[in-house]
Amino acid sequence: MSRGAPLPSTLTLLAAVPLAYVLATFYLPLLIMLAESLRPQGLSLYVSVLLNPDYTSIVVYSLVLAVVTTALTFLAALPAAYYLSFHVDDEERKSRFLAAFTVPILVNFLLKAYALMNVLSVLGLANTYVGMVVGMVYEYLPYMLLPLFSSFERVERRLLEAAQSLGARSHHIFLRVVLPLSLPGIASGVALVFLMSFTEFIVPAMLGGVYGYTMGYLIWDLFLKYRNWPVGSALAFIVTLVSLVIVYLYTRWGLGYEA
Amino acid sequence: MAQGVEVRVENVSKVYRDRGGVTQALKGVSLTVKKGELFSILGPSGCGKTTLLRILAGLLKPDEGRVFFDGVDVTDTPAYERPIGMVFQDLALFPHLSVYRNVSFGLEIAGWPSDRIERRVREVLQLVRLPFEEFAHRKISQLSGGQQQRVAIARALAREPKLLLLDEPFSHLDYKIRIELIRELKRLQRETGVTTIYVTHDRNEAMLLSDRLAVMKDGVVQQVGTPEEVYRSPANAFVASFLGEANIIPARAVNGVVRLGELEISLERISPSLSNYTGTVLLLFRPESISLTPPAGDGALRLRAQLSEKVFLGPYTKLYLEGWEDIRLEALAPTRETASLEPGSMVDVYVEASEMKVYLD
Repeated sequence: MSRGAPLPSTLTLLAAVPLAYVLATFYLPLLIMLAESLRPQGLSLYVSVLLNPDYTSIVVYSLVLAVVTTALTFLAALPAAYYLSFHVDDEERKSRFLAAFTVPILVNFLLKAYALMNVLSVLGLANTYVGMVVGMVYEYLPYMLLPLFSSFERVERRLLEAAQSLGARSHHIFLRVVLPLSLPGIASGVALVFLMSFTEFIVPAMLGGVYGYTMGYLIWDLFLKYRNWPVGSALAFIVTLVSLVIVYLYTRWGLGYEA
Repeated sequence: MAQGVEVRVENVSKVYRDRGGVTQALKGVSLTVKKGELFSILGPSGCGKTTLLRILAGLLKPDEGRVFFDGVDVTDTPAYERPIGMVFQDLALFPHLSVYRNVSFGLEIAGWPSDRIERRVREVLQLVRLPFEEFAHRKISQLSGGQQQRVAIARALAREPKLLLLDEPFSHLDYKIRIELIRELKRLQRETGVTTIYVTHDRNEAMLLSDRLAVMKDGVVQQVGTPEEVYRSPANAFVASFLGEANIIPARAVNGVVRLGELEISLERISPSLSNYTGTVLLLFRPESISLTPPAGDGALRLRAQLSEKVFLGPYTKLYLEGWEDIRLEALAPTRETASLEPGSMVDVYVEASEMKVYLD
């Protein structure tokens, strides 16, 4: 062994292992799928998928569902996170409240979905669009609540007092101080929930009935039912591209402000 | 020009309760700050001075007692409805807003038209000596500590408050900038006539700044007066030692006479009401009240003590003296008078009875 050659440090090796793992299990298969989608007709397949109203209508339908889910989740999480952060003074009570909102993440989804199905059928909402949206909001609420809450927590409390001393009432304080300072958290909550709900198919499939045929479901069908891998992968890559664009916009917008 | 309010605090008490227990922050505090006065609240940390300021701001409600602005009870008026401006210890400038928008914050909320807002922002930035063109559109993070301080003051003054509240605003700045800002604050206060209440633990700041000051300890106002009154006639040993260096000598009085070694002090000479007092007392006098030469007249007490250490302070020299029964004294004397004194030697020092205070322990 040549003594002069620099040995890769242990740390580099340790970092290389997970990197190699991700390359082997994620990027490589992904490239294979990309090649698969391009193999029969090249990019013209993508064009025909994008021009096929059967597919695009489902993509738009899923986008709308994702927008509705994200908006409702945001509206539901905002007051809860705000109340938790600014109006629960006792730290212990605060963490108990927070746990109540976030424990559902730990519960197996099928269990939650069947439990919710019972509630929805009692209410006559099983297999309806509303029931499906209720399920989506229910599933994603914690993912919106946590980033909102933690960005509210980072807002310096003294700033609220300063605003009060300048004549600001609570709605002024919220709009002019809390909201602008929480934009990074809001952006990450919104991006996270949007991306996850855009590709979600289990909740719509279980709770949506005829309304539950979303893009995730379509891709599932293309792969497993119709065995049409090229179109399935093309559609999946289009979705990935849309997601990447959203993530890019989010990093540009959400991280624009720095204290 | 904004006109200040008279602030009256009546019997205000405040208790903080949390898991750790109960802390009595204020115990029956009463005081009056006159219209247009520059008033300091001075005390060690934990004395309740910030709590009192927050109650005046309306950020905190007292458990008991009332607060009046110009005779009107404002105890239940929220902060956003009080005619106040406040400068916080950590400034609390809005990090997401420019200097301009920080200063205009209160004016926008008050619904001023934008041309009037701009005029006022220019005016107050000029008042705190920050050139508009250079600073208005900077971010807060692009300012030095002293400049941020000026923005905080400008923001607090923008709405033309009738009461300006400052919570140790200069404590984290360098001594030189601090002195400069204090002088400017004084100038600003004179120019605007706003009643100003300044909370600090720094006696030099309080003395330099105030028309009058209140000394607080353990949630109780110990004394209110002009800096000179409080320094020269402290109400008790705490005030005396908090306002400056002081020699405090515990002693026992019998029938109005204190014996310290061979020295006999008749309390009657210091305080006529103690002519027959028996019990423990504290004798107190300032280092600069000790002189090395016998003063004219017969009012002076002569103390014989051993010089243990001499510290040169420029024009003055500090002398550490040891007297009877382990009593240590500090004296401050003009350096030229101390040249011949050698540590270890015995010296005679003199204190005029009129310079001495006596407190019942």
